[in-house]
Amino acid sequence: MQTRNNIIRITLFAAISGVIISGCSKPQSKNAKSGAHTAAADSSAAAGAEQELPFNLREGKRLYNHYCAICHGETGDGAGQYYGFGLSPSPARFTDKAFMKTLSDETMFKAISEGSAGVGKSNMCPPWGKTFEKDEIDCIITHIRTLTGN
Amino acid sequence: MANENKNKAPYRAYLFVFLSISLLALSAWVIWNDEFGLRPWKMYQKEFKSLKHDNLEKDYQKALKDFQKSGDAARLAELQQKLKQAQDHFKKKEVHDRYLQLSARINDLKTGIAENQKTMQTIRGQFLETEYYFTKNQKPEDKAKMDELQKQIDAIDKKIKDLKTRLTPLQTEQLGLMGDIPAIEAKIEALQKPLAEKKERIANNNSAPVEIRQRLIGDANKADRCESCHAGIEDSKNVSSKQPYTRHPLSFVYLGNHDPSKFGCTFCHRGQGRATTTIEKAHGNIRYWEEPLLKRGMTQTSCLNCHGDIKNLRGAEHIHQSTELIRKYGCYSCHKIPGYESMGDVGPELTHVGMKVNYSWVLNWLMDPKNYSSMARMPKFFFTKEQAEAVADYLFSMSGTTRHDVDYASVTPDEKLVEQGKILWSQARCNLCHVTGGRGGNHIKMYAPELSKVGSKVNKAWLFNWIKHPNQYYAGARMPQFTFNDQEISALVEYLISTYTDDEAELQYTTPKTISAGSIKKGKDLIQQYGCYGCHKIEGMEMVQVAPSLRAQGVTFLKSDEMREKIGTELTSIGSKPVEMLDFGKMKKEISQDRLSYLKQKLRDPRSFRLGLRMPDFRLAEKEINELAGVLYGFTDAHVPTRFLVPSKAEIDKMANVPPYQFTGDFAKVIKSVKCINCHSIKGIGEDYAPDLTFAGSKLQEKWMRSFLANPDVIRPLLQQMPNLGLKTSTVTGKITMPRFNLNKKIVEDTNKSDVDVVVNYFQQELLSPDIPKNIPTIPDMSMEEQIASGKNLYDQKGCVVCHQIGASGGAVGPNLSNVGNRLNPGFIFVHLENPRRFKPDIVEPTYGFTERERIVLTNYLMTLKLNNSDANKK
Repeated sequence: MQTRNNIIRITLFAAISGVIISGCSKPQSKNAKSGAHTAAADSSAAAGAEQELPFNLREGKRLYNHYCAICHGETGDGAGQYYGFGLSPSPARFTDKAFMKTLSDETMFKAISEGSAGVGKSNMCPPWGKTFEKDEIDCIITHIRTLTGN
Repeated sequence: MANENKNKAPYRAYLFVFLSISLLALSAWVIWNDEFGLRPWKMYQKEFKSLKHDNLEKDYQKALKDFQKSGDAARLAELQQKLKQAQDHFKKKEVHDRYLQLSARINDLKTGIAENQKTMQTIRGQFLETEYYFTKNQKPEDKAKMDELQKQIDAIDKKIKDLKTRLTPLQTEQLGLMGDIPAIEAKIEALQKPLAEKKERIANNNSAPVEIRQRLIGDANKADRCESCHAGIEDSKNVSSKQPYTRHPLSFVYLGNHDPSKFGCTFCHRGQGRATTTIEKAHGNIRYWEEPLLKRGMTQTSCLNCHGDIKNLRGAEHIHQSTELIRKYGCYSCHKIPGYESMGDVGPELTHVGMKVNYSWVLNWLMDPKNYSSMARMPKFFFTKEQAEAVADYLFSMSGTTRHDVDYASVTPDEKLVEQGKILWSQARCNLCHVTGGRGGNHIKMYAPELSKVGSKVNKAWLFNWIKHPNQYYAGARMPQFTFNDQEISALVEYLISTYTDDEAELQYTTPKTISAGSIKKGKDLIQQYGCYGCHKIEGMEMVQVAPSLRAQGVTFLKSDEMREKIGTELTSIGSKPVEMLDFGKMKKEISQDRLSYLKQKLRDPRSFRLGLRMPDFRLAEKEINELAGVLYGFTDAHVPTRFLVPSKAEIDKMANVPPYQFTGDFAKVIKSVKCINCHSIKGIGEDYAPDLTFAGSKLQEKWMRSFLANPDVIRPLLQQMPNLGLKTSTVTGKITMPRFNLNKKIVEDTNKSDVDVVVNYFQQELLSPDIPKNIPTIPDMSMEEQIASGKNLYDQKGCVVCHQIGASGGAVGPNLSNVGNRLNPGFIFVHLENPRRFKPDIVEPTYGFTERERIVLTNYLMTLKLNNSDANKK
């Protein structure tokens, strides 16, 4: 009789503690999951992957294609479709990884805002500092960095 | 008995201990959870502070290094030494004692002055009071008192002046004792200032409290706590590129124009602003929150909530591009969409289509438009052959009684005419709008029909009349009138019909067949069912009607005044439609149950939800689906406070009872026939493919205008910036210029005036700008030759040649400047050089920031670039 009671007690005790433990861990695990959440692309990446790019990249691409691609080319190979191939010296090649490694962000910023003449090269690329805000030049630099294929 | 008790006790004891410990643990957990578990923002803010600290620290170290490198550190040390010397000198006994002595005396004097001033105030008060009574009562005793008080005031005044005179030299001497100390201290502070500021920023960051940050917009009942986790949003420098530590992209546009303390975050980004416990809750990605966070690529949809005009709105470029799809596919023809109420018909009028096309062509077209042309915008209605025949029968019955085809394949074309037509075709530059054989169609937004198979579609008689008088076929025709003579038109017709045929076309009705009445009735019913009259004007079908077959099924309008204007659902607030009201039907398990997925699925496959749906399939690309869904998602009935609204110009004009701009007089007739606004824009009406002519009268010279209109040549080798040309889809040889409309041979209808005269007159009288001066300022101390030479020098130095051509050299990005002295008015060049974006916001030309002097010399130089008369027509 005592053993039976003990068994009942133990079972009851296990059940209750099980409930308590499961009740405790649920919210904790949710927080742990959300704590580890980083800026991953969301699951609606069916197609239109371009729209999943961060805004800075999309804006940089738009600005680059509108203002720079004529001479530098949409892919950055320095052969803008109509005019880039005829220029001498030819525009900078953004696809060249080794060359791009030598350029710091500060140098690129200076080259864009003061023109190529501002970094000691020819005067072919005009100064854009009065056309763009700092944020816009940063977006363009971000986009150019992706042209090496990163 | 005692044994039993002893045996029971241990079990209870263990149970008791276990339960006590669990209770303790639970309590501890509850406290921890409340402080930290449910407040993840504390962790994010702390992490952000540490990241920012690292960043600021690095910045400070760099500034320190630069400071030391640049010699400023040396200068600082020098100054500090000088300061010490001065201070030592000052500390010397005699200097210090004298200083204290002077201080005491100055203090006494100042006290004396203050006391006297106080007495003066009292006496002055008495004086004013006495003066008042004297003015009132004119009693002589008051006058006497006034005089005496005045005497006292004068005496005190003198005393004060005397004290002040004694004070000044003492103060000067005291200052002299201090020597250079104030000056040196100021210089030291200036040198140390940048570093001190950086240090202060570090200290501020360290002492910043970790707390909930909230933007409260009371009247909209919003409390946005997003910045509790996104702590760096308003920072001027990016501390990290990992979320949630980033700063707001393009903040000068978005935050600069929308102060977060006035707008909050959720008006634009949606989400559940009040939530702070988990990411899912804060972003609204939970079951009962109807406005989840707008994902990447969709944020600009919120611009539509407040802004009426998004055309040149900085920061809304992506969504503006997406709204072009509504125009392209003509969604507004079947659905009511805000802002698109007065758009023209997407498709041509069908009342007389029986006289235009082959019956077999219509069948083919109705069953799948893309069989005829891959560029067709008309969607697929999934008609069976019988249904297509019924519709075609109805349409043909409006202008005849038979199904008929004309077969030109068996007719030998007149080769000479074909040859002439080909030349005319290329001279008139029809390929600008029309695609033939994979070439042309650069003016994409014109959506002109592809003509690669037009020989199997239309009959010659109709084509002849169409080219001669497009407006006669239907009122909304966009094709301009080129004023060829009849012989030229015959040549063009021969060329088109014989060259651009469809070899695979099967023409079954070269022997006409009578149309049956039953078929006509069935066709009419189908047209009413599927709403063809939304995109195409059909006589007799201007109003929405319920098709008889549907009425038989019980479909009806509830009340006569609820007759919807369009056959499709109104889309004014589709972006706010509750998810429960969306009919997912068969797709319930296939797609996720939220509004955006519904919209995308509807655009992808409109009839997939259940049987009996009538929206046709537009065969949109996935990218187009995403863009359109984003736009539709932005059509909400969001309760935006009125102070946020920026109505469009059209809305403002409507509110002010200003009628929309309309062309007047003979110019209106020219516009109606030549349709300049297909490519050009004038006062906001028209397209932006060709230059804007709103200020053409102030911008262009008259003589040049006349010669250009008569014989348009190449000004801009790359008409638009490269990506917009769509060059990957077609090859263009030769440069893009305005078509030759044979103006100058025309007489405007009902008048005796030449159309070029009408146009030039209108430009010079109506299309002017007060901001373009007639004359530019002069430089008195430079001769004209010097100015021109200086201008040329500046032109070379700044590298204008990279984009502009003069003669044989130069780039092809901007307009050719060889003849600009004949083309543009100097006032325009002068104003343009200051800010090229002023008249064309998306111009590629950079803003150089020229001084006025530089602009004057440049303008004078450019005005010398003229081609003599014989060459003027070539360039």
